[in-house]
Amino acid sequence: MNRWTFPYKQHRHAPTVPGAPALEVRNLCVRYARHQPPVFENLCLALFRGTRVALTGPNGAGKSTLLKAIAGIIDAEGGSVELFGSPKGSCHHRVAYLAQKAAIDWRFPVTVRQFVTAGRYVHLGWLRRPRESDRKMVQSVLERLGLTALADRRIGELSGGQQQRCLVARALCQESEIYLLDEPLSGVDSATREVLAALTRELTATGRTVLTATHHHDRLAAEFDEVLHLQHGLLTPSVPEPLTVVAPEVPCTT
Amino acid sequence: MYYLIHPFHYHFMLTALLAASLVGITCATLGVYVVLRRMAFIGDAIAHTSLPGLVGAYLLGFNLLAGALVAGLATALGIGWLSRRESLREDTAIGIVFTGMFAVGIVLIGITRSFRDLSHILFGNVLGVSFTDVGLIAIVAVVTLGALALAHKELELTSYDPDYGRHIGIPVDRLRYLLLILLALAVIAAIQAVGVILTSAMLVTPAATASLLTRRINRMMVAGAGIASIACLTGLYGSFYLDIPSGAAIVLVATLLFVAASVWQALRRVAAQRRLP
Repeated sequence: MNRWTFPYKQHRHAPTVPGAPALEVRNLCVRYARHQPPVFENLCLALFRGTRVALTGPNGAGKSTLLKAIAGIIDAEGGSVELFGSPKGSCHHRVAYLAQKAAIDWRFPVTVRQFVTAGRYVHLGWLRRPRESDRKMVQSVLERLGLTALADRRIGELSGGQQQRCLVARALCQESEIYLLDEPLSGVDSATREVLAALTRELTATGRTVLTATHHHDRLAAEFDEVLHLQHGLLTPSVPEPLTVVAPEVPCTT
Repeated sequence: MYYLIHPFHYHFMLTALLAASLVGITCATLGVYVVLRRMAFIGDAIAHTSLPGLVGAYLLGFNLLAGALVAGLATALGIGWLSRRESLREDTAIGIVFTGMFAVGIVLIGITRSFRDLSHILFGNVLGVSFTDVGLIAIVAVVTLGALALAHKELELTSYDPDYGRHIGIPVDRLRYLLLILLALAVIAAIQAVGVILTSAMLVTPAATASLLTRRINRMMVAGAGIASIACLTGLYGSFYLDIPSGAAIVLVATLLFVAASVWQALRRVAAQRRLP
C-alpha cells in the first residue's frame, strides 16, 4: 500500500485534542468584495461530536456563506476554523460538504457512479485512479441510498430528489467526520426526506457531526438536537420548536 | 485505389496529412472541454488575437509561430485574469481583449502594406508546412494530450462542480489557466493547418459532432479525434483533386460530418417516438 501519493493539499492525521469540539469557529469574518460590508464578523461557533445541528435564518442571512467558509470554498478574511482541536488546514479531509444543487452543472455528461466516485478523490489525490476498494465503497453507498438502478444514468436525467441523493452519496464517500449540508431538503420528495433524516441519525449515532442549513422549520425538533439562528450577522441558539408561522418557501441561491 | 494513394506520392501531401491529423486529434480532444465548458468563444478569440503576434513577428523577422504563441498566451492569461472571481463576465472580457488585439493586428498589417504574404496565415496552408513545423505540432500534441490524460479526473470534476473541487483542495483556478494555456498551444498549432479565421472550427466542430453521438466524455474524446482525422484526410483529397484551399476543405468536411450527425440524431429521435404507442 506504500505507493506514492500526491494529495491536492497536504494533510496529516492530527490526533484529536481531548475535550475539543468537533468543529470550532472563532471570530470568523467573511465579505464578498473588499468594499462591501462583511456578511458576518467575529462569528463564533462550536459543535460537539455526535450532534445534529440545524442552521436557520432568512434568505441572504449568510447560512451558505458560513458553510462555504468552513468548507474552504470561499476565503475568510479573518478568524480561525479548528477541527478536533487542530487548525483546519492540516485536516481539511475530515469535513465533507454537500453543495446546493444549483451550484452544479447537471447537464455535464457524467454518470451517477462517476459523480459519486468523486467523493473518493480527496483520498486519491493527483494521478491516482479509483481502486477496487474505492469502487466497492461507492457501490455500497449507492445501495444504501437506493441509487444502484440509476448508477449508469447521466446525472442530468435524474429528478430533483435523486440528484440530492447523489450529492449525499458523494459526501458519504468522503468518509469524513463532520458533514456540512447546505439545504439538503430543497426540492426533495418526502421519501428522500425520510432517507436523509434516517441517515443523519445514523451518522451522529456513530460519532459524526452534522451541520445542516435549512429553511424547513416544520420538523426541527424531531430531526435536530440543536438549532442555531443566523440573522444580521449574529448567531443565536434557539430552542428547537416548530415555528407557528412558516414563511413561504423561496428558493434560496445565496 | 490509385486515386486514394496517388496524392501521397508527393512528399508535401504526406507532411500535410501528418500535420493536419495531429492538429485535428489534439484540437478535437481538447475541444470536448471547450464544448462542455462553453469555451468556444475563447478558442475563437485566441485564434484571432494571435494575428498581431504573427504580423509583429513577420515585421521583426522572428519565427511566426513564436509570435503567435506569445500573443495567444497573453490573450489566454489576460482573459483569465480579467474574469477571475467573476469581477467581469468572461464573455465581456473576451470581447474586449479579442477585438482590441485584432485591431492591433489590422494596424500592423496596414504598416506592412503586404496582404499577400500574410494571407496564408489568415487562411492557413497546410500544404506548405515545413518539417520543423510538424515537429512543433507534434510537441504541442504530446503536451496537450498528456496533460489532459494526467489531470483528467480533476478537469472533469471542476468542469461540473468547481466548488466541490475547491472544497477538497484542487487548485481550480490554476486548472482553468492550464486549460487556457493548452488551448493557446492547440490554437497556434491549428493556425498552421486551417488559418486564423477557421481555427475555432477545429476546436468546436469535431467535438460537437462527437457530443451528438455519445454521452460519455472519454468516448467523446476518442470519437472527436476520429472525426477530425477523417475530416483532415478527406479534406486533403478534396483539396488535391478539386484544387480548393486545404484549410477550408478540411473545415467543410468537418461541418458536413456535423450536419450528418445532427440528421442522424434527429432521425433516431423520430424513430424512438414512433416506437412509443
